[in-house]
Amino acid sequence: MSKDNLLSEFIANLREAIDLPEKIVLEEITSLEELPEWDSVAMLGTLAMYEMKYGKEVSTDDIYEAKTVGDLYKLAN
Amino acid sequence: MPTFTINNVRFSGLISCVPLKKINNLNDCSLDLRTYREKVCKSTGIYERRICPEGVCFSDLAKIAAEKLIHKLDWQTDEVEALIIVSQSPDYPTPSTAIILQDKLGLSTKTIAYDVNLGCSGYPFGLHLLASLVTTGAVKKGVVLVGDKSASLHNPLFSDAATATALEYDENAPPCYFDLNSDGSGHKNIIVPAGAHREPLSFHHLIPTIQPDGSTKRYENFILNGPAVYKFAVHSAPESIKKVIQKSGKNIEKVDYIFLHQANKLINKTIADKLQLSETKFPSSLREFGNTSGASIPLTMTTQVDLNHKSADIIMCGYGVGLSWGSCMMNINNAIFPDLIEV
Repeated sequence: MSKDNLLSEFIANLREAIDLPEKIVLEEITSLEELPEWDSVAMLGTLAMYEMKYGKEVSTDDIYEAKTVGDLYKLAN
Repeated sequence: MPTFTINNVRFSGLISCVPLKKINNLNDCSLDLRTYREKVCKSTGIYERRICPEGVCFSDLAKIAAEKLIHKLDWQTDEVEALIIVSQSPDYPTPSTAIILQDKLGLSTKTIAYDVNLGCSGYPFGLHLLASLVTTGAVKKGVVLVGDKSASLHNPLFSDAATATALEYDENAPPCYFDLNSDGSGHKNIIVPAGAHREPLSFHHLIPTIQPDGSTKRYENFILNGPAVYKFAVHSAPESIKKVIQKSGKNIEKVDYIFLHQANKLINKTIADKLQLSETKFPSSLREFGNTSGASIPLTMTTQVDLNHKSADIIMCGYGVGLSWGSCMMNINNAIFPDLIEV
């Protein structure tokens, strides 16, 4: 799968994990700080997504340090 | 402590008591919070909770539960030789609530009674403590009261409940297997920081502070780092469950039920997935009762399945504040599980 495909699959998984309303656009450069939905509940869903969909154990510090959707994507690889 | 076995202890009965008063997480909040609450309900699985009326304490629910259980078992009050409370909701900072209940329940002054300060992980620890007293036969009959009063209108997670469990000495009882653990390096992940000796409650805790955006913020008297607790729970709980299974020599597929602490739907789903077991093995009371702290495992056992006078191999796994976690595996055989008490 190409990087673009992997990224769009990741974004779809992330949308589902944080239960993002359809009207909100999510891209690689989307800033997490400016995303009102990015709260502790969303972080919890994201941690579960890494575990279950990617088999990755991502630390809470890595999640806190991520600035953009792209940073979250890097953690899945 | 390594995983270990306790013999000669029979699980005689369990009863739960909750306040009649319900809180609906979606309806009982300000309108501007509703969208956020919908998301929290979906993620946690918690829609309804129970809250004590003004002036009702955890010990009031616990007393009713204990009285009913002792009566249903046909035990005499002077036969109860140990009364242990596992709770973080005492009547007073001191003395121990268990000692107050020794008197209120009319138990003998020869009763061993004291409190243990544990929260969500408390049930397997409480069973272990009482079972340790009973296993030698020094104590023939004992009761452990587990639960908390932690519900509030503004926090959508917590709910009030008390439970009473009776154990007795019985040389024919099947063995109980325990795995109990503690990790204080995570103590700040779930904490009430002020009000005791490290940070005494003072005037400044009561004054809201103005935030840069102009809003006011009250002092946070309860801190819960959700993502950190998720990481802790989904790693520690499956390991602990595997240890008691291994110790018992049984096959995990043959276990009838695994009762997990009820904190959050997502956490328990991940634990079930990691153990590669169907979610039907994991009964849940989250939707109706929320997170009832140490009472969540016994409350689920009394409200979600019918164990009354049945035989079942079960595992009970608690995790939470401490950080503290542990599991107990046992065969429940012909124990009584009277109906839920609502007061």
